[in-house]
Amino acid sequence: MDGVNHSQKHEITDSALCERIRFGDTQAEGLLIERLQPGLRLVLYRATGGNRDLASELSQETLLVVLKRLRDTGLNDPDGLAAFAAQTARNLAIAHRRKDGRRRTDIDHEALDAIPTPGRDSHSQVELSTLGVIVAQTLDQLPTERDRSVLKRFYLQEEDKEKICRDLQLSDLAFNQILFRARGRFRTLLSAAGLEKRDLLDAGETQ
Amino acid sequence: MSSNPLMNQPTPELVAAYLANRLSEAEAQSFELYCIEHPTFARDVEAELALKDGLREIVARDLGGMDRSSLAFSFTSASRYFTDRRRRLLVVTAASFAICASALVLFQKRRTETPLIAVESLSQWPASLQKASRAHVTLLRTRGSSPELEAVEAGDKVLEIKLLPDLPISVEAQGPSMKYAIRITAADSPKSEILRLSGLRPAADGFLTIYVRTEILRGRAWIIRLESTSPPSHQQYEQEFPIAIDSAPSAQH
Repeated sequence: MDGVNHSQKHEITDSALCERIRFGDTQAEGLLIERLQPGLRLVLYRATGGNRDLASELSQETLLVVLKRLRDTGLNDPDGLAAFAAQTARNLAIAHRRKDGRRRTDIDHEALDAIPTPGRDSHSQVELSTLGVIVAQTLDQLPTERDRSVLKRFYLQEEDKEKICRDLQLSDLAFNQILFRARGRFRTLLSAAGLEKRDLLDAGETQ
Repeated sequence: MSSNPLMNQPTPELVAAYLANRLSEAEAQSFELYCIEHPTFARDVEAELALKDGLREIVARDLGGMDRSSLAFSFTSASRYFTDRRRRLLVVTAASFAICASALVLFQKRRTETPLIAVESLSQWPASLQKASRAHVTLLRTRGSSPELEAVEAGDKVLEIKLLPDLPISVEAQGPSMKYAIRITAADSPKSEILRLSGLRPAADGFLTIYVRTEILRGRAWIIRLESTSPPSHQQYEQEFPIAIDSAPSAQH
């Protein structure tokens, strides 16, 4: 964002951004994309059942639709920009699902295998993606088996924090510190791999 | 900034609940709205999601690439496994012993417990199954030829089955009262129903998801029946998905 520093970015309201885009300010369009994109990727990750590629593609499409609307007619309620973007994203995901369903006229095992199933890759896949390698390195750097166990139970088995703390005799603070430490190392390794500035949800590419 | 009821930064517990898909649709949408309004926070959530996916990937990779040992074993050895190949043989040998011992214990244990377990979400997973690995099968409506899908699994697994009702309306348009029931019966004996779950609602992605122990399905062909159960005024919907779980671990999909 040339010419706009970090603090300025957050001073600009959605309403002001919408107005600037309406009058052809391309810099404002860049700010809008930067502001909306991370949240839209989350919306679409869930709406597509965890399909990273599709979520990324649809987030671009959503931004195009939003930008076109802002350039053409603007929004009746510019303060509702985030809600408008979220609903646009969900509508695009639904439309994509319908289109995909209509196209499918016969069993396609390749397509079925390609459907994202969070947490499970095909049996033959033995190489980790960049993300997998970084997480493995993060695990390696955790100081104790207990820390690894906390991560596994919290993120993988989705157990409640209270239960984990009770079982491992951890205080609330100690639990938070373990997660904080793990996340910190993960972010550092992501950054070292040059991934933090990229879309995190695109980091699933196999090395 | 907006009419979002979620005005304060979500707690770590709320983030965890969102990532585990434990929030209601309204809560999830409110959380997502907050994320769109707060990109820095959204990036933090993305990082957590990436960490979670990376962990799953390591376990999935180990289960596919090694001898599918226990989840706990795979997890703790994951990173060392690929950084020190010389240990690999020792690890696999030890794992084989562990698998044999576990199989013996499980065999004894299963004789006294019911083999039929199906739940709707990961949070309902019985503790006894939390060490088991998960396999995933997604079944979609197909037209024309047989939609049979063969899922190959071995060991004590939990199968995640995602079904997509092929309705011409979205989840939102179906409304909260639209519910489904899922029944599983043997393909060669439609009266032998082994499972029934009712009152199910699709997630935002349109999929209905259930978890079933692979053990009860292995070695036989089954029909998964998906039907709408309410409200009565809606168009009735019914669909069948054949599925077979092969017990041969080396077979391909």
